[in-house]
Amino acid sequence: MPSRDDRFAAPASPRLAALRDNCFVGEDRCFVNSLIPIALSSAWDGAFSETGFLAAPSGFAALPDLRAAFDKAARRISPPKEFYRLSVAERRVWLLREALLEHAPLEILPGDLLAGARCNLMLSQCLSKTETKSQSKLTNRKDGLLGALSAFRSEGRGCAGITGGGYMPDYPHLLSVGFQGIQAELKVQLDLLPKKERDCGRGVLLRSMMDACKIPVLLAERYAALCAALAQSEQDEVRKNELLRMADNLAVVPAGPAQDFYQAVQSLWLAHMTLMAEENAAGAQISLGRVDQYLLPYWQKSIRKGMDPALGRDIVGCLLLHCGSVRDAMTGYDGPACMAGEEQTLLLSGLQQETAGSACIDETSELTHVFLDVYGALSGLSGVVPLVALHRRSPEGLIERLGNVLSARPDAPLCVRFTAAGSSEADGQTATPFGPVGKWRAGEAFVQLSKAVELALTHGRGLDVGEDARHKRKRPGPDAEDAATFDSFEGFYAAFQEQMGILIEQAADLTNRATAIRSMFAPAPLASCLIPGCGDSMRDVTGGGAENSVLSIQAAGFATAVDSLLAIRYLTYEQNICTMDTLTAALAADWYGYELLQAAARYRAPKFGRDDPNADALAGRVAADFLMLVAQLPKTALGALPHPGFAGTAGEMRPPFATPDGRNKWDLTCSGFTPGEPVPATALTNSVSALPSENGVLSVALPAWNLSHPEALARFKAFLLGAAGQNGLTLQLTCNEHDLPAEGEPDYDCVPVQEAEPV
Amino acid sequence: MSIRYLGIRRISDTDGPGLRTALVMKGCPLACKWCRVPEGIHRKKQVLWRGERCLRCEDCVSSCAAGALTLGPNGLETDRRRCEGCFSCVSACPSQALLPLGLEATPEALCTLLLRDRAYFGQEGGVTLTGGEALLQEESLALLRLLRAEGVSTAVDTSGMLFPQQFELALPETDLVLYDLKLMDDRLHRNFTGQGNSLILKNFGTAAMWAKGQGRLFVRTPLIPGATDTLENIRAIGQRIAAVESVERWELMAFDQRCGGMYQRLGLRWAYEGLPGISQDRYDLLLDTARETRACPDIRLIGPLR
Repeated sequence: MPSRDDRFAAPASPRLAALRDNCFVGEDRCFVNSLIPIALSSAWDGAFSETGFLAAPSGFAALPDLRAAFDKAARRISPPKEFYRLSVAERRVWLLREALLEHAPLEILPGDLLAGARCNLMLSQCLSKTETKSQSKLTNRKDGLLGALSAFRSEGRGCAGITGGGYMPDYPHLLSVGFQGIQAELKVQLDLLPKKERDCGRGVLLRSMMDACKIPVLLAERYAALCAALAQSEQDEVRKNELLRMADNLAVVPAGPAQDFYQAVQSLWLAHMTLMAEENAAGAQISLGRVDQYLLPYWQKSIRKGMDPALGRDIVGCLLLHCGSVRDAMTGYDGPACMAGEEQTLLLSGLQQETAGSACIDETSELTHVFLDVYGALSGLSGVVPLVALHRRSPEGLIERLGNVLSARPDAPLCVRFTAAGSSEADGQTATPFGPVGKWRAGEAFVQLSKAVELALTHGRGLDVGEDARHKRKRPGPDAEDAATFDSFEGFYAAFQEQMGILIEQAADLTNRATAIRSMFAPAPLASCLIPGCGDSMRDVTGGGAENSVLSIQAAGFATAVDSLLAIRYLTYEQNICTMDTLTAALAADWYGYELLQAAARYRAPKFGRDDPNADALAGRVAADFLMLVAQLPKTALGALPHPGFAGTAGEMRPPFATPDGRNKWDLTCSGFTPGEPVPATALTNSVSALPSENGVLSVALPAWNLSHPEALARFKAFLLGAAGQNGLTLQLTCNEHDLPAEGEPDYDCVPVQEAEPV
Repeated sequence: MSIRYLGIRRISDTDGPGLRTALVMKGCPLACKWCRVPEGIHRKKQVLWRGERCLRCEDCVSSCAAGALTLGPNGLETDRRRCEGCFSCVSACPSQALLPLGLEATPEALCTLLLRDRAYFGQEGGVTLTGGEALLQEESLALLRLLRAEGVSTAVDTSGMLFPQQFELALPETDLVLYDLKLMDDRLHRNFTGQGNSLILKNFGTAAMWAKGQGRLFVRTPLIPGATDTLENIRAIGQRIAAVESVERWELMAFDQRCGGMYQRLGLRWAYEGLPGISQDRYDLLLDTARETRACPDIRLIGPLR
């Protein structure tokens, strides 16, 4: 039986296979990108900052332990004299430089073609004693941010705050001008300032940004020296030449513009890893953007000049493997797996419209195929997700390539997103599914929609407290009419809508508090250099400098909430199986003693995601109301625009209350649009297509097709083209055998007679 | 005028080429010992009890006007002679522990359901009527006409055990026929399926003639240990296919052992319980033998071990 690698058209080269295999040799790994905590020697200082973890749906409870662990493990560095007289931004630049150049090991992996390895750093915030106290006052005291976030989470309302990354740097600009070019642009801005302002406020920020630009350049110098030293002692002539070429590349980039594909990728990775280090989070999600488009001119130039495409593939593979290594962050630390960091996304293919009204051009190129080909060949690689933009006329070869990738790596994440001519994503080269290049995610919140159902059922109080405590406790939601008094489902729905609005406001408020604290105590000078708008406005990216800044408000547990509303309508208004009081009592008892009612809620009530027009209509209404409520939020004080979305697996939670769809408390809610029970992929995509959403993620498990067979590939293609009408939807595809029915279960749906009527 | 069916299989990859929706119909003139849809053999309505979902509330027992149900220590027992197939027990069960086997709907209503996935059919896919026997119910023709009027490609999966006139009427209403040829030896055919194969072979000739015109004909042979998996049988089927010269594809279907649980739930004995399946080497040999006959351009192995 051939291995999956062998079945793939172009298996990983020996170089990439060896680098990839390093991830699977346990303690013998030659390189682990685990977090390096570094603090200052000042008595009040510590390495750990919660900032990058606040909005992660789980793992919040582990933060105090992580703080203790990292602070204990941290290396202590003595700051220079007069250190605390510098601005916080300048101090952070100093520490980042020290950490990367003096403390993080410089490593060139055997056979690696890209310099730059260790990038997961946990750095002190470099705050003075007074600043530390001020920050602590805002976060740790009784009415501080952490307490408020904790209450928000513990009641199952959702989570809010900031997670690391969530932005897309302007790498195309970096590649064209280099860090020295960016530094020169900042110098122009600095010179525009009146002299008296150059040493304070905006001037200091610009100087710190200019200093930050030097860090990747200095890092490149160190790595160039290392490559040259390794080359001297290298016996193998081929490897020796590779190391010398790497040293030559590092003499050019990232300081200056990239001259060829190899230099462009080297520049990209050094910038990316330095940003990652500045983020101070375990595996921050910083998107590489539309790599196959902005790297294409360099690729073409290099191919014209005689670059072996096999070398190009290996360079791409090294980039992907380095990106994947970001996931090592928590290796060696006891922390929840969810805190190991998020994936690095690559955006591939898509449409481009040169000017308004002109025809859209498909952007699939040879380089698109190279990225997908290498990703498919690197089985076992995690931490990188290609997001491929498709449309109705996407080239057949591209879809076949996707089939090849899934065939080689059926369980690896592969996302496709559908775009159409005229959509915002096709409008200009810089637009992407995440918004324009340079978009900055100021904050992030996940609102648990099923909490709004619970609050609507309980006068805004919640189910998780006894009758006596209810009167003493502060209501998490607004006082609402007794659910038992609603004459119709419409009355209940209005109460749900009101509670949903309050939850959204609460989430936005908490996120704003978190972003305000970050803007005071955690500036990001390097990210500010690569996010458009910061230099011109002379403001740090955390302080509202970005041209495009969003406050992401995501609906979590969407399908659970819709199923709960459907169950309420079915059980209490349509079938009269129980009263609202009985249902509330059942939920308060976590269904204990109400198993028959739970079974009716779970199995008999209609469900979203099954092509049921009535269920889908209610889901559409919930989605539309959510989008409207988020749109009504004002722009934040730091200029971030509230941006709605529907969370996928990122928003999975275990709320501490039972829900009317038959779910027990502490069980997982549905992952975004994806129902808890397996349903045919076509039924699900049909249901989701009825929703008024442009920012949803849907996990789709396709049947266990052998995609190396042409007929199975044709089925895959038919599925993707069938779904291609659903613009804005992101499908996270897997192709596995988990969907096979259990033995003795039919492999067809017994569609009941009453539903077999024309709609 | 309604069609009795078991259910609908969506995004199917075993019911013909492309992405297909299959209507699984109830009732079959054969009773193959290996049948992988045993609930599709009898035309009579049945209920299927799923013990793992049962809450033992006995709502089903009390809802049964015919008194056909009893809930004992071994689970729900159905007196199939008394059961009238009213499905009141199915409606009464709060946990869907009972599945209705034998739903009914008009061709028009079914057509609407079957077209939900038409966006995904692409150039090759469409709707397949399978079963059971797809053409046993005459309302199947009305459904095929409706689907073709919608511009959807149709296929029927048939055992060929039909009256010739009935079969001839059906052919113009479909684009593709998936024709089962199981055993060429009439005596063995009768032993294993309950019926001889003369009618099946006669109708196969009719289908082959039709396929020389505008239709497409695939032959399917289930590979069953000790029954159809002999080299002689495969050679004989291959020769018959080669003789008619109009078969586009011959699919050797790997032995599917996952249906044992369904037999158990229906209270039936599965003749292959505990017996070994077919080894990969044997599959390879059978496929090679089939290919040696040069029966048609495309000969392949499909199913769970493909």
